[in-house]
Amino acid sequence: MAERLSALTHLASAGGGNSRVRLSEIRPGSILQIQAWPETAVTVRRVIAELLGTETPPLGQASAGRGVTVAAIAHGRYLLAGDASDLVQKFEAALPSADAAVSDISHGRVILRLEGEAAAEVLSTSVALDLDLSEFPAGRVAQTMIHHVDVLIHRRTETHFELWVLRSFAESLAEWLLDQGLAFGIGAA
Amino acid sequence: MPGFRLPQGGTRVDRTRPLRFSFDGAPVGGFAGDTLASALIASGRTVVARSFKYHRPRGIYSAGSEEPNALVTLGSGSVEPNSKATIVEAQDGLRVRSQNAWPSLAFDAGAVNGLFSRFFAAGFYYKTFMGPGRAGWMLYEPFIRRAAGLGKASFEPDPDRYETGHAFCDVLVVGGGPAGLSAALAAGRTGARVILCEDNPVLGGALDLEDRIADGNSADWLFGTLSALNGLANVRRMTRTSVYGYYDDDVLGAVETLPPGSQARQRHWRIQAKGVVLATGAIERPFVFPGNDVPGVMLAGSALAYARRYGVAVGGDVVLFTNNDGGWRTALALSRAGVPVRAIVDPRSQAPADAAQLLAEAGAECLTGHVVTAARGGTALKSVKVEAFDAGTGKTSGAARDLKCDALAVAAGWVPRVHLASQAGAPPVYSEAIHAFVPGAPREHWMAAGAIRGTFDAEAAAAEGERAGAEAANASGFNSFPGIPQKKPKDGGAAQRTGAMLPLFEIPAKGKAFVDLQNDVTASDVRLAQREGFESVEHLKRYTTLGMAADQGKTSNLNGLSILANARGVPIPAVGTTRFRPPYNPVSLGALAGRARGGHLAALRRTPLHDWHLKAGGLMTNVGLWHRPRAYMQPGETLEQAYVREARAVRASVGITDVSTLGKIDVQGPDAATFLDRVYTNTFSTLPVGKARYGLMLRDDGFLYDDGTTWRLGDNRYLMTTTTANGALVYQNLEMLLAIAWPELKVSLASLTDQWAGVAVAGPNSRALLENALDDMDVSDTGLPFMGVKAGHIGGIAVLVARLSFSGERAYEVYCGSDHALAVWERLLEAGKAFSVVPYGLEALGTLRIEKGHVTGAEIDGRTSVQDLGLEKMFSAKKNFVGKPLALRPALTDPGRKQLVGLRSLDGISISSGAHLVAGPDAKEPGRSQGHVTAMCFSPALEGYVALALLERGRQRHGEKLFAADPVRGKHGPVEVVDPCFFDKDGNRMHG
Repeated sequence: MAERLSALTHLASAGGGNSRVRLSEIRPGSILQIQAWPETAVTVRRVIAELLGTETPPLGQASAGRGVTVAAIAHGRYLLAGDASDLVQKFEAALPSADAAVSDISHGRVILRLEGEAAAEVLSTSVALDLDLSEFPAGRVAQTMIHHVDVLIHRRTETHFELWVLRSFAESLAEWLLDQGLAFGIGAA
Repeated sequence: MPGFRLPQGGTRVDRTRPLRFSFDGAPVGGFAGDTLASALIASGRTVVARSFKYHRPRGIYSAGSEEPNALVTLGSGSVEPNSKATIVEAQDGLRVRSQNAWPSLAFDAGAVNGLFSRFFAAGFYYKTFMGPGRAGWMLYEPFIRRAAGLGKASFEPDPDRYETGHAFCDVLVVGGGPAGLSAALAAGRTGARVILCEDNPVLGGALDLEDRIADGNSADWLFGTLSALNGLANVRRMTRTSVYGYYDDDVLGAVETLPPGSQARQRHWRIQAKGVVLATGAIERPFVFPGNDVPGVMLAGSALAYARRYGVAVGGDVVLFTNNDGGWRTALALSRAGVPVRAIVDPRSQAPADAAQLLAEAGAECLTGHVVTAARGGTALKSVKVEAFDAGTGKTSGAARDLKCDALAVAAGWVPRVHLASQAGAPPVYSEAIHAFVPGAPREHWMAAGAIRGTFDAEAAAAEGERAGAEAANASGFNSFPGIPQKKPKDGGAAQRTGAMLPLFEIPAKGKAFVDLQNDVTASDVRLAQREGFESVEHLKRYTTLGMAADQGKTSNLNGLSILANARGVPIPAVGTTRFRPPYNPVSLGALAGRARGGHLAALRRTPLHDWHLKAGGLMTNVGLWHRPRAYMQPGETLEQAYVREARAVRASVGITDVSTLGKIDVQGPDAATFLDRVYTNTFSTLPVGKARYGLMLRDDGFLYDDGTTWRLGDNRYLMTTTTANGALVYQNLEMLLAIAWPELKVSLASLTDQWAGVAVAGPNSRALLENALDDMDVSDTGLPFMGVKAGHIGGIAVLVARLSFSGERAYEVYCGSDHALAVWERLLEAGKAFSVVPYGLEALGTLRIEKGHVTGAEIDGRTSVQDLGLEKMFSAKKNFVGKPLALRPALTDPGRKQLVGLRSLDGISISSGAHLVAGPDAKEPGRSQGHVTAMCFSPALEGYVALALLERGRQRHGEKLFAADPVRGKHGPVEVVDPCFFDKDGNRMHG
């Protein structure tokens, strides 16, 4: 099997910056979308819990288990990212078409990590969401836009955000964030 | 003696840090903390600008954003025109230039306009250049435009960096004076998230122009309040931040100007508040009298501000002209700051005794019962003419006398800054108490506090602010801090500050008296406009330009209104006031654009092969947000030579092209087949697994929407492809249909556009190439028949291969995960070496499809029907689908409609895309348009220029000769109408 080539091969070379905020790429083995049917939501939640060992989060939130993240982005719709490269096959086997639709988007999404004390400030340059911890606590996910690009924002901790973006926009978004982060001493890793 | 630096004083300047900038090339010294204006006054300069219409010399008039005169241009090369010298902080090395003056400020040729000023009265341009009998406005306009305008923009790119930010709060306080500070403190103490915005670099507002607040020293009060604010982490203080617009849902726009030497020049803020306290203060009102624009005439409070904040005296011989007690206090404060005050002129018969006595002791003459009837001087004030005044009759009387002076400070009361309140509320309301407008009823969640309401006394303003801050926090869900005493504001705050004001604003005297200094609008212009019928204040504004441009009439609107009311013989409230729109202060285009410029103008979509295309000499072009290669250029090639070479190579052997941009949608679920039958004009439920079918989609209105092939990968799973342009739109539309129209269908969609990279392999040797490349797939005609889809591997990488053709050749599309695209692409090139495989770009792709008459977005342009493009066979009669009812409208099936045809050039010259098809052989008499060209190319297969076109009744007209008219490029060439399929009509090549 050939090695997978990141959409962000130029990112690592950007380097620089200080430790206040850093941009890097997370490279999960699998990314997938699962859509339950109205009457199979319980089944799907059970299967996710069984296969990943983590509870499914309520709508608008994400739960993070060991090496896996589950985000609830719409009724019965989940985005999953995990270290293992065979999650799609596992879920397709466990969830026949009568139970849910499983879509492999492992190559179609890029997940950027923006981490550091100034991470929320960097995002606030471009995101029209209130990122105050009281309004956007750890665990929240929101689908929004950064400079006209659709982005799913997942706040893991106060200072650690993950941004899910279509692969074709990833380099452009990274360039944008590195530019926006100049005033905060952003660096790439 | 003009202005000078006082030996001491200046709370905002650091006398240990001198700096130097240039003004019109001459060096000007100053200190860190100076504004351009304070340094210019201190340097003794009187003239800083020429006026807009008459080119009269003008000096600095104020100390804030209300400045009408001192507009300057900053920088060289790339410049910032119309900057207000009163708010720009002085920086070492800054280059500042005056405006509207030629050849120089001292001698301005345009001042000749002043001699003919009676011709330049209100409405001059309208009367002279427009209307019946006048030679066209079109003729004059360019000359008028050259003469008009404030400042000149540069054609250089702006080198400065502008940033953006989004901020959220429970309570936004606009204005950092006593009211605003108290509001921020009261709101902050409830625990609410508070943002306090202040234009100036320091907080305090005009408090530093007062000696006392309540029973204490104002400086102590300010120190105490700021210390208390410092202790509140939930209060964010944003100085140098001008809130310019109040929009719906309590969203406000603000521009932060960063301190000199910062990485960025400005930062634009979008602030979303739950509640707002408007504590924007007031602007001092000037008098209207002849010569009131001579350099040296300025607002009295501003003169005091220069003394206290910058240690600058505005003159060595100052006369103060006021109609209220506050003016006397200002005079006393000026005198105590070391500014020589020669006289105080007041139309009232009584002066405040204490101030008058102290001023008299300091050597100032107290001229009560007098008015200034003229200011005299050219480039600097030399004297003022003073006459006795009878407040009872409103007339001057007695002998006039001249008072020598070099500065005249005017103080005619205060005008609330109601702009933001007006933007987000009912029209301002006239207050008889202060003879000015105060905010009307709010439309958004704001409260006004302090001088904006006419509460001019600092203590009363602070009490109002405190209450407003607490209430705004309460309304946002925060309980008021129990320790705060809820003081009831004192009544009559207006009287405290302006004290028994005599409402005299225009002095009865002959001469050119300016109302709007920025636009050179005089009192007689206002009266003339009224006589000519412009009685509405909105008409007055547009006819005379009163209150327009960079200062938006901050010092002129009210005086203009009162003159209009007077001329009409009605009270001011009956005249009303103009409403205010954003921006309160000018906002630079750079701040609005932020970082969205140059390479960051729009996001760029890259296919996984983007870098390869660049390295291979791909001439990239924008296709939506994507960049795609038009052709891979070889040295010395023109674009046409490059694409013709590529297209020839495909037909001769084999080529590959990147089709990753095609929209791809995962359609899954037990009802997937039913769903597709409803959205496509043709049937997909009958498609066997492992096969692809070309499909058409219509819009609701029956016109063609999109096309593409959809592959059945399983009983309940399809992979839909769309055009590049419509990928996102089709996906959204399908989601909408599932959510709204057919929620009962169990279908799930996912965008796979970015998941799958696609490579088309086309040409007679495409199968041989794939046989070399694939690890494990039979691509023989039986193994993978036409429109077949199969999974396999290339170099261990999982791929999907579909046998489809857009080019008319035997062809395949190879899909793989995007992260594997480069590896697959390179393996395909390697496998094709034996067949001299070439990569080909968009132009060759287009050429090959034009030769086959295949349609794209150029033909599916939102105006064409299924019949127009000859696709009736795909219009199912057996089922219903989106758009079917309206597609059957007579208008869409009318045989007279434009239909797809092919064109051959008969003169060997290219046919322009967009050219119109006409019957007339003469370009000068082309006749009416019968159709238009949608796509053109040089066809290597036909060795000539060909095109596709939409032509009225085109299918019946094959063989006819027409002309392709392109008057824009001067082309008018003969063409023959032919079948749109130019090449291999039987499809033998495709089926191999």
